[in-house]
Amino acid sequence: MAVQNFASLKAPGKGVFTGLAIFHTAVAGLFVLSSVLSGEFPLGHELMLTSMAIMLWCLSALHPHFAADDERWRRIRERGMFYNYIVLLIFLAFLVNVFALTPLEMSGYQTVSVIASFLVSSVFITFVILSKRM
Amino acid sequence: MKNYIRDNRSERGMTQDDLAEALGVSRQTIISLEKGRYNPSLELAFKLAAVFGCRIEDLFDPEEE
Repeated sequence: MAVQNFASLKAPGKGVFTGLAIFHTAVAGLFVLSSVLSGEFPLGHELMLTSMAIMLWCLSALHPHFAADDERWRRIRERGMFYNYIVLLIFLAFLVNVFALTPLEMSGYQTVSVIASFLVSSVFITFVILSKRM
Repeated sequence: MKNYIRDNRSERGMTQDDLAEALGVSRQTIISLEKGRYNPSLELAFKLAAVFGCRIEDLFDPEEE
């Protein structure tokens, strides 16, 4: 019964994603501002919030494309994930060089946050770019 | 690959929304197909042919860019 109810749920509308994106942008902005003003940027979690805001803006822009969940959207997703695999490898190589060649020091939490934020943002930005080109 | 989806759709007086609904895809997919930015799968090509009542060869021209 519960499965049937879940299956009958409709995908949220574009307005839901836009509203959440505005809310997340405001929250992320506050967190970034507070960490910059306290001189502790990047703490880690504000980057995650920023990437969530980027993801929600992208979902808002992508809504007419993914709402139908047709074969074109599936192809956009496949290509997007493949391109991001390459982009992530390049970013990781860049990050390794930054840590090896510069005096920059980051904790494990900060590093994971930077990588996760980059991954979340780049995946959805790639989807937006591909949806315009395909 | 050149296609004649727009011509066939116009001949039958269908809108992009009508065609999208008949095929079970989004309107953006129809726009991409008509602009030639995206080549459909074999399954979607058969569905297109069925909707227009013609053969796949009448809708797509592999020779012409």
